[in-house]
Amino acid sequence: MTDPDPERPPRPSARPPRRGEDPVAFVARRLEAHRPPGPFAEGAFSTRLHDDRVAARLGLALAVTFFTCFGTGLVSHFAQHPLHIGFLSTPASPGWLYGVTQGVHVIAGIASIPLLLFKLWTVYPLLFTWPPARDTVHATERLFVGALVALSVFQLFSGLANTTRWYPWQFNFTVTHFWSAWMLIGVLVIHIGAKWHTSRRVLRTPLQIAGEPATPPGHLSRRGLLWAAGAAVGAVTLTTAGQSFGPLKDLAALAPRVPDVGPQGIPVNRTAGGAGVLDTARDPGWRLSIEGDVPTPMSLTLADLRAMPQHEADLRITCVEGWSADARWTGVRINDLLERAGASQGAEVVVKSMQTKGSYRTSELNTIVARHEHTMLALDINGEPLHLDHGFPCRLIAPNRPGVMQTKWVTTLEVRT
Amino acid sequence: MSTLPEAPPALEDETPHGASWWLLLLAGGAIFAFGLYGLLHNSTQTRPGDWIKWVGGSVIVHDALLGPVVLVAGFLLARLLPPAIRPGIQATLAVCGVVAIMSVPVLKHAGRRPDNPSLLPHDYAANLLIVLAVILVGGIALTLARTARDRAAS
Repeated sequence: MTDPDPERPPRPSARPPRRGEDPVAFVARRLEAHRPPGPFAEGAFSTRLHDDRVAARLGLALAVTFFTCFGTGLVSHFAQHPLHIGFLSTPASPGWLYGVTQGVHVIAGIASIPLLLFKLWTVYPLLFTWPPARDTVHATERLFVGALVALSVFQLFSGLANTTRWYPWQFNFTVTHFWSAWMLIGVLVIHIGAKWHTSRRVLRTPLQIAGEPATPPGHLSRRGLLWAAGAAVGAVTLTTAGQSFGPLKDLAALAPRVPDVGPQGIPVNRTAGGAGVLDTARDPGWRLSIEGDVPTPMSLTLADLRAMPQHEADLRITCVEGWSADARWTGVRINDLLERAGASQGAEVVVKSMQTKGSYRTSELNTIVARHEHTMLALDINGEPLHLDHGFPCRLIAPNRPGVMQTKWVTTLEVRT
Repeated sequence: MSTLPEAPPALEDETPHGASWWLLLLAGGAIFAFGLYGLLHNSTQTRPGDWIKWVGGSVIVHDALLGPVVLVAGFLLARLLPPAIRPGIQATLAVCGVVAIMSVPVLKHAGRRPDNPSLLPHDYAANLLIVLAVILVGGIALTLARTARDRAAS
């Protein structure tokens, strides 16, 4: 090998890569001599807290919360978009199940925010790795890490904004959150593969090894940093989880919802005004139509419904934004209406609202849900006639079902066989 | 005979290798590709052009804005705080910072509607101040208790 002219640093193209040499490694060797100053300098960051042992422990916690969000997110997705595969269809009981899975979805997502911020702070020096990539594998891994960081921040931000119904973007939130979640889980799986050996090793290594220099006085220890991360998780959880978990509601100072704040003590997502039904819902000429594949189609007044056998059930209403509230609902069983119209046992029902716009104007009841003893058109909530914002004159209420599918301001039951 | 165990390298950034890397790259790549396909396939709803702005913006806001701000804040704190209480106060302020970041959407309360008092019912600026005050008082109390304990022990 001949030394390059010391006066003129070699350009990367000056020497072609050796046969079979990794092109990224070839460029990396050329870049090594041109390390930029500032954060790229060696020793620019202290090494005590920016440490694999801290990163791996936070990473493990994030893996738990992210996979929890993904699993509960899939539950919610398939509750709204049934696969029509028997064992995968959402069961009608226990009635509170969706409240738990969606509550956990939002709680785990919010808990991920401190974990992610602490984790990114810990590994921040790696952003200034020089050369940017050592070889093709390293370059691949770093590209996916970039995607992982971007998608993680994006999913947590968009999910959190959605709980407050803040939509500063143009895309549809639910559809985009769903597909981005698959992309995020994909790059997370890749990241777990990339860090497999390192994390297995450092998770078994204590935070302070015997003989290792102790944390100097006046400095935060690795253990202290993890305690702070835990305290931050506790703080964001305690101040928000009450929206889904009633016993904590008095602490929910930063939650966008409180389970007992709203008309008749129950929160509302879409108001009658927002749905454009202020007049139609109060129209005395309102009728409930039962139509479709039934021998005796019917048109019932509110008085007709009140004259039918009334059924009472304590059911939890849960919104996809994570809040849950329990109420006592009274009304007419869908089963009784189907019997009266002579619908066949295998009939499914499409419940239609008088709403003229919005993507949740109708919802479907499969055979099991339609015939469930607690599935009803509710007329009363906690002993009072439904508030206009809760769906007066009548709304669908059924166990274990996302709130957007508990259709309000019902006008029609369309029976399909 | 080995002497004292060496401190492990802080952030090793090992090059991925082995069966776990290649298998999970394949599996994760497939899941990622499925998500990307779904995103592009439903482009009327997902608006990929808008989506990429928000996803790219997410990493820029973190890496180019939040990261440096936190570094500078940490640098200043380390110089301003007396060593005896420095770690405790640094940790306390980190918790406060995270809670404040998490509160941005409720503080912005862009989703509020006059006809829906059940949505965003609180005065979030006041509530955030109370929560931060509680964290600060708790953090300072723990820090002082610890300082007193260390002093008694020495």
